[in-house]
Amino acid sequence: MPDLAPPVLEYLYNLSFKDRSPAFFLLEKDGRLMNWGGNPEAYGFTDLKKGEHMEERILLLEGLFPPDDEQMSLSCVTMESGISADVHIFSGEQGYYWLLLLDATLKEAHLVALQQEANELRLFRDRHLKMMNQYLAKKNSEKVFHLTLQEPGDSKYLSVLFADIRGFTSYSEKISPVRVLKSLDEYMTAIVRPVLDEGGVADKIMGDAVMGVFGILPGVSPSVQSVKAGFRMIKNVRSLNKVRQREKQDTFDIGIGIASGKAVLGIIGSWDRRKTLSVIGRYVNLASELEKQARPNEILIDENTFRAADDFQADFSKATLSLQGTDMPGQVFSYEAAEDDG
Amino acid sequence: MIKKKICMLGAFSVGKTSLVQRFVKSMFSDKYLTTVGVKIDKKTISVNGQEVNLLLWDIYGEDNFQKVQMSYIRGASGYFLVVDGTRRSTLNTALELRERVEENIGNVPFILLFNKSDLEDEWEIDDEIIDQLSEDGLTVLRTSAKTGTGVEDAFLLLANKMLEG
Repeated sequence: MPDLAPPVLEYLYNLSFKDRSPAFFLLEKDGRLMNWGGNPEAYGFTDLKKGEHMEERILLLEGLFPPDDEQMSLSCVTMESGISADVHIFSGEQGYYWLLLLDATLKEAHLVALQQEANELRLFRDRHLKMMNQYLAKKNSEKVFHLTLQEPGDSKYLSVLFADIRGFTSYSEKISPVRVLKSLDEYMTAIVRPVLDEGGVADKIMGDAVMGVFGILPGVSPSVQSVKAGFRMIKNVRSLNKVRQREKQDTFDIGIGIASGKAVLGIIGSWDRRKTLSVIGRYVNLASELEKQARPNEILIDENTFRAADDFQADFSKATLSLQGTDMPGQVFSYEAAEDDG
Repeated sequence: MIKKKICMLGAFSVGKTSLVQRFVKSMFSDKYLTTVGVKIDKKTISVNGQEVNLLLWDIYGEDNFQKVQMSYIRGASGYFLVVDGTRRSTLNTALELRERVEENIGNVPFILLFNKSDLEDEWEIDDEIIDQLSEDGLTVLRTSAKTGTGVEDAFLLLANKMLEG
């Protein structure tokens, strides 16, 4: 023990322990209380009596007493009183043991904040890896490719859907990364699932936007699939928004663009890297442009999609748009979800 | 009254705290809140007409950066190894923990719990693996802290095993 002057010792004590409500108990081997001091009341221990069995009062002692080792410590033990304490047990003279409690409420709160953020990020990453592996992995892409095409670079009649979460980019610049990722996770799940459920392929997930392709896998009309997926996306997002509103969280709407026609399908990527399915063509650009023009909760579709999705024509009305950078074939049609939809 | 210490062990976010909350308070929350250190709870149950006070040590989840300190499990009469059925890696963590626990406190009763059975559609662990673990002699149960499925049975079964042991 260094030879420290009493004021220094007092200063060190105040610095290290004063705010941690130290409490000590001197216990016999069988757990009976010999003496105590400090601030046991802070941990809910009042009316202490010499000779009483402390295992009855302090649950954590069960199974620990008498300790095998000369000393042991347990970090952040939440006591019966609900207070978190660092627990130290060490041997004293004549076979007695000291039990020392130090308040760890602040330490625990700090650790929880750090651990929570790290764990949530890991869970988020795992979920997304899983989703990507499930739908976009090399194996699946190649399976889809062999299923649908005779030659690489073959063209096929497809419907392409773009969906974007409106206002998310500016939101993500102001909010903590964990909250951004959590929100993105919820919205992406609401958007990607309808693509997959309707038989489409979630070809690309780009930040807060998704590109879905329909017609690669055998099934009903790709236009019908894509429009149904669009409806379900809006419905899902509306439901999610209701939940988030109740939880006083920020909410977002989506805009959707769909175009249909012949597009070139291929797998891009060198052999040593993950290959992804790619769709190239004017209808891809058109769908992307329609999505950019769509207002919140609006689906804009091109004329090809409108004609092929005849069961849903009544839901759409003609729209007047000025599309830039695309060779616009025919009319554009708009569906706007009513306020009470979803 | 007989007292028995039970430890909840497993990777982070597998549902250890939720299982204890479901068992002790019949409550469940979807909100994930990480555990730091240990939270001790208790519940008295009747096993074959005998009152048993279970002391439940809900210990922080293990990950690559934070191993479970074995001093927490000292004096345990039994333990649960909790696995999240939707995350394959949590089974590896549970089995690694089992080895370390046996090295430290020997062969005490335990049950391997495949939790989140309400999300079975999303499970990454198939029936063959679970059957194989059973065939290897492990006691395996499927639970859902969310719905309560299998939770009471799991604690009762472990209590029985501890009293037999």
